[in-house]
Amino acid sequence: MKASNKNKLRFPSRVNAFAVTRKTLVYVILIALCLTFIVPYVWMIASSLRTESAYLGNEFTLLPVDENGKLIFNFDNYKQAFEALNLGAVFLNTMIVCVVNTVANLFLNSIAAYAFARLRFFGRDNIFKVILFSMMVPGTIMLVPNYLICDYLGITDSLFALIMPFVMSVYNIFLLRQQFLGVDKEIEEAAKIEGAGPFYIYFRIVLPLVKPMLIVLCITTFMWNYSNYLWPYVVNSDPSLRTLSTSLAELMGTNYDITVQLAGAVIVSFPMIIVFFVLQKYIIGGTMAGAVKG
Amino acid sequence: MKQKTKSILKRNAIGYGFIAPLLIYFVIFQLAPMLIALIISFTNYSWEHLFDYEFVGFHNYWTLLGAQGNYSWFWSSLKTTFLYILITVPANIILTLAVSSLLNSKIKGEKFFKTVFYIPSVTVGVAIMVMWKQLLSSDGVINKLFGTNIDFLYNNNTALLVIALMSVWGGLGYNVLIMLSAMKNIDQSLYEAAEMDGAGAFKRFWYVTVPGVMPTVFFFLVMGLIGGFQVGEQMLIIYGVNDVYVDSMHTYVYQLYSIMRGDSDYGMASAMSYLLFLIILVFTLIQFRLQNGRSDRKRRVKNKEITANEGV
Repeated sequence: MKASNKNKLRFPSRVNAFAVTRKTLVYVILIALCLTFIVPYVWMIASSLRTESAYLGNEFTLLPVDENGKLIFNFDNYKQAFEALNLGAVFLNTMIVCVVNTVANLFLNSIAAYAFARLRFFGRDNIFKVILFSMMVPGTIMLVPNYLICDYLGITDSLFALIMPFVMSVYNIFLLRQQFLGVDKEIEEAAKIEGAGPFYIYFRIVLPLVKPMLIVLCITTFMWNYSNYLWPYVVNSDPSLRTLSTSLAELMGTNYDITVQLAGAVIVSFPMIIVFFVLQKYIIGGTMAGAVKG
Repeated sequence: MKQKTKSILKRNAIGYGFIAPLLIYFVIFQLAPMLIALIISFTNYSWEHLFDYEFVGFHNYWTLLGAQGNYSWFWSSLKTTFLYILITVPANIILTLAVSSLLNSKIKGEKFFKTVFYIPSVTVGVAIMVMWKQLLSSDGVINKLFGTNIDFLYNNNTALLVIALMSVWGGLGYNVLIMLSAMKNIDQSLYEAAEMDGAGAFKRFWYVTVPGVMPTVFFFLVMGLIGGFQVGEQMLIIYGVNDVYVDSMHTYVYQLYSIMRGDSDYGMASAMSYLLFLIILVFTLIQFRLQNGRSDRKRRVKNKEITANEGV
């Protein structure tokens, strides 16, 4: 603030004019880029509310209008998409998978991460290294054998097939371990002297201290499971076990009106977008924090 | 003494108790799959030979590497994958650097822009594909805007390019967040010093910002390569398996999915995935070697400077 005042005094017009044009240019570029992000979504919502004939006939528009340019809210698309997606059952499937995986991940990853960060036991660091190395292996390798393992375990015809391979995550263990390493050791030492056991220390003392990271991982794990497509597509062929992603992909390949397909895309994607707007503080903060630590 | 062994035993028991779930999970869903994939890559295990499969040695690997018979696309699918990487990695890095430095220039609404760019990162992947498939169709919005009539996704000249651009678009928000936090970590006094030396905005960017975010750029390079080699899911969603019309988007992993889900040839698919693992490993090692060489040189220059200064 002070510096800019000084500049004003010294070079009254030239510098200011230059700075203003530069600032304007920056905003113009950013807003133009922004439009390439907002316009597709607005267009998708608008189109999902139009009739098929209006959609095919009209020029580019960001408003839900009919052939004569009048506003129209054709919710019949949503009704059709609802049925085509088999939304009731599919939503329930997705929620079961997301909730179970998120809860299991938070608990199992954090106890493992805590052990690697704080507990002393034989071979700890070597085990951690081996497990970290597995992150190098491309996920594609796992597809065929994981399918065969699920087949062997007899779970390919159930939601367990979508849960078991993802109840833990090596990457999240890595992130949590970094967090635990940052926790002040003295607090734990003090508790230990008081005679607290490792479970008490973990649950009551250390876990609350890494709560922000737990929230971030809770959101990201949930979202990842929500939009995961490849694995459900590979492992479950039973239509009654479809998740939102696989059901939408199925709808994409059918002859339903394009407006109905777009309505389906809105139904599937908007819950997460709304969650993002509500929790963006944690999501954006978490991504940036992960970047610093990583 | 006895007391001590007892406490060591107890300590180990607690430690292994905490990681027991991980060990079970790791063995069943990480280690076993890796070994199983390796084993069946040497067999003809497939839908036709579910129960009477046998070891065929390196047959699968030779068939692929020799691009024999039904697998004549092998090398061209690798070429397609390289092309995808050549488009996405530089585009990602340049765009991310540009947008992040604009956002970092003390503008209003930084949070708003960050939020907007991040929306695709939280949109279900399939929904993004549904959206862009219609935007890019021959009578879609993009064509209407430019008055053209190109079926972008079903034209061999454009299919790979638009899919690559779609993924750059989708990843921008996440990449910008990471790049921005790297930029904000750069010591501000460096900028002030550069400004006092009379460096303009561009010089400050080139001599302060770019070296400061080099580790992040390298991170994007490595991740872009590892992710780029595994591209195929977008193609799978848009075109389904065993597409025969749009050859130009048949990446390596797309073909792998086709073999696995379309042909149910698990032996061949496993051989393909191990070859992919090898390719990724080699490229990652080369990158790290290059990176280490670079920083070694830097360190040596620095050491020289220090010794020179000490000499004075």
